[in-house]
Amino acid sequence: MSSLCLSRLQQERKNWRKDHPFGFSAKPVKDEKGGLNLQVWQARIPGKKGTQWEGGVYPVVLEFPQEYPTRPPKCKFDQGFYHPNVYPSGTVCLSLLNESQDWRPAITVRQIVLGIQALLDEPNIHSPAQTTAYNHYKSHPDAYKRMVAEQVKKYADY
Amino acid sequence: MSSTQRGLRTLLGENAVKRIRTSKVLLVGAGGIGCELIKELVVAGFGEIHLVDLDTIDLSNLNRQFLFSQQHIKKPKALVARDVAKEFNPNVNIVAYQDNIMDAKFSVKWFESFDLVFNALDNAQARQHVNKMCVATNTPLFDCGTAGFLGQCQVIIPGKTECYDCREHPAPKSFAVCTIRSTPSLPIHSIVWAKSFLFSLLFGPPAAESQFDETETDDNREELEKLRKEQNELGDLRENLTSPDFMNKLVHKIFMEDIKRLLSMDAMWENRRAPVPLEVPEYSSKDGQTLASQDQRVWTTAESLSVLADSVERLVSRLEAEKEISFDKDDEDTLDFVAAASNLRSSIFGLGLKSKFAVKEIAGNIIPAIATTNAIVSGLGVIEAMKYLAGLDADLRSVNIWRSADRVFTSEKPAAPNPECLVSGVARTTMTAPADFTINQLIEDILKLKLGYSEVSILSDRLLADPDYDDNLEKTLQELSLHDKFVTVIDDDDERVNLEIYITEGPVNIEQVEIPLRPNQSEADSELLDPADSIPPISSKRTAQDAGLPGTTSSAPGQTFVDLTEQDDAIDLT
Repeated sequence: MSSLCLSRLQQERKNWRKDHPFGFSAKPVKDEKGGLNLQVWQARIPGKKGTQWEGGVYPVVLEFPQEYPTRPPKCKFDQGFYHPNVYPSGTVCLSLLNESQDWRPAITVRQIVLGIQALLDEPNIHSPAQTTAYNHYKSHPDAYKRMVAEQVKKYADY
Repeated sequence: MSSTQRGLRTLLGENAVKRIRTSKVLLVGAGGIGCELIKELVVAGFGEIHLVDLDTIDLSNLNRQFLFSQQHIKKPKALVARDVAKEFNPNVNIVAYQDNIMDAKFSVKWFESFDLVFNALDNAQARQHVNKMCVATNTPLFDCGTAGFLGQCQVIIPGKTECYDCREHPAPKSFAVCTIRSTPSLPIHSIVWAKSFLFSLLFGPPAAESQFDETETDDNREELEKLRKEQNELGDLRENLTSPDFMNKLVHKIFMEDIKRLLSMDAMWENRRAPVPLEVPEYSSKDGQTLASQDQRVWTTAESLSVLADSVERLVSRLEAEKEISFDKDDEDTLDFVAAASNLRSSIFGLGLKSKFAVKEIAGNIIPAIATTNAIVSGLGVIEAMKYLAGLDADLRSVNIWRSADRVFTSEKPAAPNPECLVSGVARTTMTAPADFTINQLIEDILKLKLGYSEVSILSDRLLADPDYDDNLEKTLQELSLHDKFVTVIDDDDERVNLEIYITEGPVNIEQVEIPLRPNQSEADSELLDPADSIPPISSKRTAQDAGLPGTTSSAPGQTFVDLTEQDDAIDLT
């Protein structure tokens, strides 16, 4: 693994350990050799207070490439997560995570999870990633509301 | 003595020639640059050369790797290069290894035995590894690289000059999943889609089982069903690969249905050119093979469909024996598939069409290699190595080759190490400890007690411990297989630079080490330090001046480093 990638992730881990936004968690996952794999983090992102996403805590996996921080991590909700900008596989489509758009090497894990939290209630209809949530959001707001509420319930136990 | 060696004696003196003759050098890589380098090392009379390369010889190597010829195809590069180069000078001792240089058997101890090292590598990962081993063992490294007409030889004298990692190297560009899946805007986006998404979904390793949560209610059943369908349709296609109707289903799904689904998300196309679902003309797979050989011209839609149908037949017939197939630019079946599928997608999105030849270059990330550049760069590498052996440290230069009419070469004095560098800018030591030595003992007995740390993180290729992660404290060095490896100790208070410890088995003992403060810390704090303070002064670090290497200034264009990386954009696009 590139030393730059590893050391930056260690720094991110340290910064997160010492201070992180309330209600969030983010931690490298265990690897089979005994230790934490800094290239894959499990995060939990709470729905923002005062939005219809409030009450749920949504698991997201952050996968950092060898070329991080030059390249952004790939962020994934559970497969089948209901949101206009989430692919059926769970992959998040967000300009902050796009190397050709807003990604900059200085962006921190903290900014990433806050960015994903903001995306929950502010979908970008110009970059839809699944038809189901997109069509509801655009044309059937009642159905959209109902589906989001179902999903809040599903993730409320975490 | 050969005329080359007589010339060297006149130029460098008897002592230098003797040092060249008695030196033991390592050459990593026996490809385009490696073949040139070993020829020159042998002719110049270097006494003992160890050559490492994992690869075997391919037909496409023969236009520039002149030690190899037709009869050597499929044989190991390192061994053939040894045998052929030895004929130039039978007095030279060449030891060849068909191995990966990153293998654990090439230990710190092994690297230590060399007087100097040449890199003739094509990928950043191996370069970084050799660089780190050379810095850790204080072994000079001459890193040669080319990309077409561009070339570079970087001189790395550990502790005195900057190392490979002291500067950032540009990473190959990646594309976001949305660009590839939904909104391609360049032909390369279609090519990446065909290669990394469509091809690997159909012929690559099987995808993991669907992880859809089954906790559905009456309310959301229909919607979840739709989502599941969107996710699984390609998997369904894969199951039907052998059905006689497969090609029709594939074309219908990929180039019509999926495009209509994208179009249904109308907001996406407000400011973008909307795709047009394919209108499928008459085509037949029996023309495919003939058309596929016409690789210099752009195919029509019907022709692309023919090639696609034919390549699918060829790939499907291979699946029984091979289970899964991965894309390889030199595997015609896979290349035909990607060339045809990408052009069909490009025509749907109104992007430029490409010939199969052009697709091969893009999909295979081919950077044309030029034999002349390789030869020049190798010559530069050997010249710098000779200067080093002749003791001419002040004359050492890192040299770049440019495609420029007025100045082909620019050279710069190697800069001093970057204090922020994670390879050059760290403290290093070695320690011995028995197999049952625990991480907790390492932290408490060595790092806190002997080296005066308060809180630390410990890292190898993974995080082993930090103040909030204590699972491994009672685990031993043996359990975590940490012997003959580097572990990195990071000061939790960010005051000291990182410490790299190389651990070998033995009774507990650590070599004395001074751990300098971080550069930003030392500037702020240096005036406050009592000279008798136990914290070591940063001046203990060697600088370019100490090494007799003048200044750290460099001429402007010499800053760019060429990175020849046959990088694969192996991104997971699901």
